[in-house]
Amino acid sequence: MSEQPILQLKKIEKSFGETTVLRNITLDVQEGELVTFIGPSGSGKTTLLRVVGGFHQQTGGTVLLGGQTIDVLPPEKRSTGMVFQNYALFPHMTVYENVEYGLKIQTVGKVERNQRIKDALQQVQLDGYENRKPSELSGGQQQRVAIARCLVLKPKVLLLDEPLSNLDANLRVVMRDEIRRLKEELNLTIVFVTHDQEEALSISDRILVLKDGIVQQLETPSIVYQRPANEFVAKFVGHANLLEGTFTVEGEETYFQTKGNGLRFPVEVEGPVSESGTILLRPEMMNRDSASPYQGTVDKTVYHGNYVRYYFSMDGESLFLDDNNPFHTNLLQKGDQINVAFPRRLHVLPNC
Amino acid sequence: MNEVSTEQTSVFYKRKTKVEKGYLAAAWGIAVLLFVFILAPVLAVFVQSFGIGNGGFTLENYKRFFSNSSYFQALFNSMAAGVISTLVILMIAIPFALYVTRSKTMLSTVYRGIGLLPLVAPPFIFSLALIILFGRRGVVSQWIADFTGLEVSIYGFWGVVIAQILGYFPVAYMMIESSMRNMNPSLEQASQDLGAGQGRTIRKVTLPLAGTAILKAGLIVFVMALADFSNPLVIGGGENFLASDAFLLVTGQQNLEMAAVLGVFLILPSLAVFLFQTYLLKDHEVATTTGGENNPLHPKVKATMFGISTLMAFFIIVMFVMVVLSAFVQIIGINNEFTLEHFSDTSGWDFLRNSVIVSFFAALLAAGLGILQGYMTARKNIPMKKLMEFTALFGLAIPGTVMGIGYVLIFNGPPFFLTGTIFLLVMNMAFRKIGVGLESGISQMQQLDVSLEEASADLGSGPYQTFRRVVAPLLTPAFMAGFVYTFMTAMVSVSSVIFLIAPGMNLAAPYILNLADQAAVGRASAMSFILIVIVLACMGILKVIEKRSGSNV
Ligand SMILES: Nc1ncnc2c1ncn2[C@@H]1O[C@H](COP(=O)(O)OP(=O)(O)O)[C@@H](O)[C@H]1O
Ligand SMILES: [Mg+2]
Repeated sequence: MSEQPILQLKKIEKSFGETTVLRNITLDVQEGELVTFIGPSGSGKTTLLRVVGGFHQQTGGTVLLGGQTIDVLPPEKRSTGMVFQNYALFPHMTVYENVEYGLKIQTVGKVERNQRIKDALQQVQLDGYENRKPSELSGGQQQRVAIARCLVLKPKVLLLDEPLSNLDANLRVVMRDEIRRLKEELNLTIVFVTHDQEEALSISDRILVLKDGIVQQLETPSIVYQRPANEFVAKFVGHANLLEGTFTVEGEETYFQTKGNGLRFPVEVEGPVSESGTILLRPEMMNRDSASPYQGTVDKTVYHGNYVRYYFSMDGESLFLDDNNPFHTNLLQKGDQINVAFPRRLHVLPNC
Repeated sequence: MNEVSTEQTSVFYKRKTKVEKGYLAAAWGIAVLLFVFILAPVLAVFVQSFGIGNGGFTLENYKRFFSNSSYFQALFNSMAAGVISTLVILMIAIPFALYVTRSKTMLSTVYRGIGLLPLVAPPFIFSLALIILFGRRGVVSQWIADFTGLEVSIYGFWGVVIAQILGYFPVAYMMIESSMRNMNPSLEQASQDLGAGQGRTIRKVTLPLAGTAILKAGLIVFVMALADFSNPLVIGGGENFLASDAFLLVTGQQNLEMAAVLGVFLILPSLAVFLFQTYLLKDHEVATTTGGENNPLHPKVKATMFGISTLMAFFIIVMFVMVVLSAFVQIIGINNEFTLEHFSDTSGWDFLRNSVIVSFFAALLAAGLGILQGYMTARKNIPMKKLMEFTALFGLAIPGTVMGIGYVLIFNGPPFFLTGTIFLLVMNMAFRKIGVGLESGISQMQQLDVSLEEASADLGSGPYQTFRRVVAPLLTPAFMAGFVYTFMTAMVSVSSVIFLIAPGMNLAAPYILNLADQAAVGRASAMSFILIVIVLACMGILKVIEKRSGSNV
């Protein structure tokens, strides 16, 4: 954090009348970084993004862009570029005119304008589409135009509000990689909104998890996934078994035991061991292992192709695990015995 | 996107289904009615204008039209008034719509109501109001006379123009407002985000996107003003205008041929506009709102829009207030003593009752048949589908005066003798408005997925049962919309029915027109007031019913 962050949010608050939608949000975004806002619907992601873009005036806190406060500037005076969820391409203009729109306002000369539009369209791989109308483009192409229209103005930050949600599943992955590529190539600073955890994990440098307008965690994807700050994050990003229990040290080993003398197995936890806590067991962290002494009963089997999810009961706990290479193992059915190997290294949720 | 899906639908149906006998019969029935009550009268006007039926084809009538300066003057006056009113209306309606759709205050809602208010009044209400204010014995005229000694008179060309501006404003305003309201707000936000200020955003994004609606509104208002019949009659001061002259030719001189020629000059522009907007004008594919709010205006821009809107709202309100006041005093401006005398007009009350009856049945017929036709157009492969749709919509576009002349030509003699009957009045109003029901029926059907009907069939119900139990309930909102609109317009319309009334069988609006024409200002105001109250009350009742039934569904 040596450099000056390009975008800084300081203690942003936002209320609509009586209802408070954002509470005390602080965030620094470095140049060339892609930060994702993730959270359930209504958590305030869009509102936060629109505060940055200037479409909402925050009720508290300040927004700095390139070290300067932009709180009083209307959207047209901020060097932010917004890609709208429905793309918001001007239907009465061609692709070329859409991309040209902002340049004309900046009174960029004709020759330079032409060149920059060409470059921008090339960057999003749309050269040759200049004279099409938006209605003559596919969803993915419209998306590219919307991005080019912002890129051509060289915004300090690109703001994308659920840009992939209107695309079908395959295209979503393509465009996700595309945005990532553009970011790398052009060293773009991007703030990205999504409610799709897989998208967030795969595209982001850092993820900001929001719930009810409060930041739950702000970390890299691997930390958010592996070391969620709380139960909400653990369950919202990825799937999780959360077990409450106590830790006891017996000689070299630390044992974890769920309440009521339930399930008990050895663990390694970082830092000093407290007496009790909640541990995170992701389904792929456990394995089927016939050699393991831990035995449970299958309650339900769900076949996914590349993995099988087993819901099972063991010592009074209901858990689920993913068998990630089901090709060579026999499929267990309800009522069958399942032997499970537990991981040793575990994340203990802070606070509780 | 809608277009694609309906096309697929109809292709699908062409391949798959035959039309059931009942629908076939209904389609033929509607087709015959459309022919008799829309096409035939219009054709009759053309035929008559060439003298056919009175001794063979001749261009004599057209020669007379161009050689007689008063006819030509009528054409010129109507055109000029139409152009001026349209331009002024657009210049007011655009900022008015911008102000109303872009602010969320109580006041903007009130303005919206005021902007639409003239729709519930007879079309000549502003002529009446202008006479009250600026007529020979008008309230303002007298002040001016007292202070300066100048004689002011509003009668004449400019009086007509002012009355048209106020009277046809809501038509344009309604269309422009709905297009601005439905515009996706993120388009304007994108423009701002790309660096455009509000002025530029309005010029480069908002107005072009509303462009089709503005053009349509302009054309429709122009055609309406061109064919304006009642304002020239009341406030024209003897100046020549096409529609009013045609009326006088029919009633005064029984010169049906010459009236038909004037009628042709009324039809041609309407027809041109109708064809243009039906077949050439394509709307932008403006993705409609996904629940977002419209963008607020910058204070400076807003102030301008607000100023213009306020001025317009003020004029409209003053006019209405004058009419109401003059209904309750002896002779406004001269003897301002309170009286209810103007309301004790027994024949007036009779005619009001007639109006309600005629409008009710006309609305029932127009909405019912229109929506049935809309359903069949969208879902069934009935014969002459396109032609029937064309005819019904054409009925909306024909000036009332032309329809009136056409009805006189066909129904005022053997084999029919139907003028002066309630039946003919109902048919006239119903078939002039059947296009409204048709359009709302079609658009409602386009929003309903075919799979609903397929599901119903799959669950074992026959085609008629499906219509009754699945389609009809879903079409109820469209029916209500068509009904309310037809009822409202039928209550206040004059230009067509005035040809078809008889001394004993009059309607309220033509009766008031006659009172206004005879400068019986007090009685005209009182009757107008009652008419407005009745229309508003009926609409209120319908709204309540709609809400009730809406919550049941
Ligand atoms: N203009 C507004 N007026 C009132 N409430 C709003 C407005 N915009 C958003 N909200 C409320 O703010 C909350 C957060 O909304 P939003 O930022 O759109 O959530 P998200 O994008 O995370 O789904 C929601 O409860 C929403 O109802
Ligand atoms: Mg959102």
